[in-house]
Amino acid sequence: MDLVELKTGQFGRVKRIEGGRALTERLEALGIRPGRVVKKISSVFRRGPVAISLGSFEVALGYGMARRIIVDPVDGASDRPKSREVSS
Amino acid sequence: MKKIVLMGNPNVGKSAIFSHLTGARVNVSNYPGTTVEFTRGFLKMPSGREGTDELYEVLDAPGTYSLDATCKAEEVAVDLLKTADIVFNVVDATNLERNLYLTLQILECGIPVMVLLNLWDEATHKGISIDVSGLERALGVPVVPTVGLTGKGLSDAVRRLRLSFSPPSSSAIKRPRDEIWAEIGRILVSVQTIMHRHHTWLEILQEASIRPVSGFILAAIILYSSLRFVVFLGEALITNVFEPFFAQVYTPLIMRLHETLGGQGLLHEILVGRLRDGRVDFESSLGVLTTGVYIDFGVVFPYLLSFYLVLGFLEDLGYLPRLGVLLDRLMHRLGLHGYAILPMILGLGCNVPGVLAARNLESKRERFIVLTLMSISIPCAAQQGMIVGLVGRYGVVYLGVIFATLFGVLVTLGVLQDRFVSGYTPSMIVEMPPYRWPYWRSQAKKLWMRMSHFIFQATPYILGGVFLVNVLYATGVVAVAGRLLAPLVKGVFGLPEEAVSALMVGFLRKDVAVAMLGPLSLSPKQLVVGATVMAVFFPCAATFTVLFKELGFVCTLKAAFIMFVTAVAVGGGMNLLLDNVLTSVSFVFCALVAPIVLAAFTSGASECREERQWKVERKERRTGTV
Repeated sequence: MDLVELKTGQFGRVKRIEGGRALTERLEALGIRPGRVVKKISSVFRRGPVAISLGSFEVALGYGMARRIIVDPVDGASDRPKSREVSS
Repeated sequence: MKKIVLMGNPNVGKSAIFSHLTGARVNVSNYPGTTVEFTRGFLKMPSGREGTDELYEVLDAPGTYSLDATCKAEEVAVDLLKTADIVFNVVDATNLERNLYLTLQILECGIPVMVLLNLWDEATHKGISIDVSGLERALGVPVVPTVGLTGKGLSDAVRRLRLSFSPPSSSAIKRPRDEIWAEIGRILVSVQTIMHRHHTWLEILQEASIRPVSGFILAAIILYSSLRFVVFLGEALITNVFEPFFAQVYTPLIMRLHETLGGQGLLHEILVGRLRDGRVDFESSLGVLTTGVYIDFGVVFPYLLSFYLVLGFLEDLGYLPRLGVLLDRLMHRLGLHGYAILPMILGLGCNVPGVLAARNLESKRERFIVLTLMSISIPCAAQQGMIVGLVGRYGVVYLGVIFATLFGVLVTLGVLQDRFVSGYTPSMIVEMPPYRWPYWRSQAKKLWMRMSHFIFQATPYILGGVFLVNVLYATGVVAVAGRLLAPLVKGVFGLPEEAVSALMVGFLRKDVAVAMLGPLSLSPKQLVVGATVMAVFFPCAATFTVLFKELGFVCTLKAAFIMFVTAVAVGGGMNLLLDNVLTSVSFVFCALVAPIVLAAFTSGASECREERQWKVERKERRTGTV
């Protein structure tokens, strides 16, 4: 399943990125790398960009790029990186 | 003199910190990619004991996510790092995870680093707390919490600069990326605590503005009200401030000058121009101090002021990248991706910053397309103000014809270039900044910066443009050029020969050029054709210079060719169609609808190419792995 197929509001764990080194490096610098959990927050139209949340910030990826990011859907995860979390 | 370089991810507040450290004025906005070149400033530090001041050179670099540059702006940043004596690594405290990736890469370079933990107030507000001394221990370099907008914490940073610090201990070894991420994970667990909290209304708005339905409704509301506000405020300023000033204060002054100069002579001709029925007519007198000053302050200034007020608000709110997301699909039809909307919007103010902002686009193809589209079909605010002032009085429909034509040209040229310009357009990848309520002090500063730039940089050109017109007329150049270009100007565009002077001045300043059409007593149709041709024709000298710098000789030549052909086609087409075949209203309709239909039915060429390539790759991967 890729980011386009993931449903809006669902969490997904990045499995792999189907692309060359330039693309992987670019996404990795943003924190999008295998193992990272992301949340899909919106998609515009059929072939429009996909917006994802990485907890503290949001990134919009063009359709072509979103198709290249393969994820596993996960339930009840958090898009925040590991750190001590406190509920208030 | 030691050199401090400010490095950090895009949109973390480097420029705000830079302007606090050095007192230099730089543009600060809430979207990634505001800074595309480096800015130099100086930090003076009284060094106490010896009594001598120590001077540091401070460089504000464009933002970058990593040291592997992906666009021109990022390359500038990476090159700057190599020259640094000290790095101020500006880190967004609300995004520690992503920001530390660059931090750890910088630490590997073996240059002394101080980490400025910026947006500290926002992090606190968002329920994120960071153990500063813990982070200091983990990174092995000084860490100082700061608030860039107000300058809080920067005095601490400067104080610690004096205690000399050595390069980080873990230097000069390049680790694999996985190890860097593992270390970031360890650091986060030990120093960062996050409290859960409820969404604020700004966050709800944030989400609504990129959702398919609500996003487009919001975009329509925002764009429409922005336009209304710009026009409303611009007109209010003109009728309540500038017109009374010109009528009651400035006219008597000019009349006195007129009398002092004896009412005639060369100097009178140049400064005051020709009077109409013994009175000053600011629109057609063509004197440097009459028409020149009037164009500058009576027409362009109020319009520009209200435009930049609205733009500044939208910039600092963080809306513009989201507009790019909504329009990504459409922009692909023009061979661009959504973020290319940013240079275009900046181009609506002045094409020069628009051209520079195109450096954020990754491929050469995109940059070429966006620059040609901008210089052909996006008139700057000064030109728009002049067009509205001159043509608007004949009716809104004529304005409609001009702007609809320009829009039609934009879409048509985009679709054509997507077909025929080689190279590739990558998918968009853009960080969307959180909405932030604009801070009035930085808004005021930005507006002042832009307006003073206009007053000091553009005014000489405007006055010079009017002066040049006088010279052209006096020396008879206009008459000769008019006769030479008559087939084009008269035959194709249907304009009188004297309009050549306006076209020539257009190289210098577009607003002056449009104003030159005023005294020619043209019919509304001729005015419309003239104003449109002026917009489409070559950009002004300032834009041309940056265009040349960005594109190089060959591509500028290509762009100029496209401009010329488009101008002739558009001007000739309008001249033919406007009263023979179509009425103005249906012309507006056709100019708007035809290109959209064209764009809708030709699926984007680059989009198709990408899709094909992706399918091939996926097939290869399947057969390879199975």
